[in-house]
Amino acid sequence: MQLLFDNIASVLVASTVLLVVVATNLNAQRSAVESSVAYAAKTQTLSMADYLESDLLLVGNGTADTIQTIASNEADQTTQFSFWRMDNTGSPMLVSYLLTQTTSIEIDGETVQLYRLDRTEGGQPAGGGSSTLSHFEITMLAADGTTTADVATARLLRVRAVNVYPFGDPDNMNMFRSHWGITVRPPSLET
Amino acid sequence: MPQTLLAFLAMMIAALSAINQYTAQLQSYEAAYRSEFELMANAVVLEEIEIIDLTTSYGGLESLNGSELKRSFEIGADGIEFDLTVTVTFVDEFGTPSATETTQKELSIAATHPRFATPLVTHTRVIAQ
Repeated sequence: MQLLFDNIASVLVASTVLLVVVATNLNAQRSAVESSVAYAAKTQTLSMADYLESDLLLVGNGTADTIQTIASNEADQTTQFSFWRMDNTGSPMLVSYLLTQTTSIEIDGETVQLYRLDRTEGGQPAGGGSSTLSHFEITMLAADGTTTADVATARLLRVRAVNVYPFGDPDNMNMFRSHWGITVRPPSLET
Repeated sequence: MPQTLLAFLAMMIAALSAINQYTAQLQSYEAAYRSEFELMANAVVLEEIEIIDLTTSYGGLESLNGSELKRSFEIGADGIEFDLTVTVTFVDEFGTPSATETTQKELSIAATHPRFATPLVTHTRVIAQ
């Protein structure tokens, strides 16, 4: 009888230890995936930030006109931002950023609409940004930081973007939101 | 009994391993969380520096020294508010703070958030006379 109890106790202890070790291992794996996803989202966001910042600083560079179009949707997202700048040959070139709806994902009952950011030069595709943006907004600011709709009084351009990285099973999905923003001061807006 | 002690030891090791992994995971979350706040604070501080540079004359910069502002990083209708502290000091040609009046001032803005004990970002700009 004693032997039977000993065996039962040892099986219980071994099972508990095994369960804890397996659960810890699974949790560690999930944590590693989450870290990788966060790093990927951040890298992609900062890559987009790099070219967007240098591009917007050239608004009106070498051209008589500066900002041509700035259009928003009902969610205050910038769907089109077009501006003039000089191309490599010294001719005026119209650069446009276009925000297009792609797909929507549902996480914990919340529907998140995703957008793709396209960039065109003279109407031809020329680069672009993430296709998993949940928010993209370019705002013109006057010198005192207040928003303005008038290009003549605009001195600063404020950009706000949120890049979303969904991961996990469709039934148990999580997402990492990477926020980014900058305010640039294109020299051409001051003249 | 030796086997009882060994079983206890095995359970202790498993429990410690689980706690260790859980702590590392929390630290990883905290680092990612702070990194997001730093990027948002960065945007808010750089914007404030541009606005001050555009709206304040060289002579008027000193009046901003020590001022505290609240500025938000807004995404649509949501926003996260940061506390900004402005510091203005005279600096020499090497950027070293100077006790005497020079021909350039260093505008420095630090952003903090109640969630974090230390400043998230600090940016400076030297403005010449």
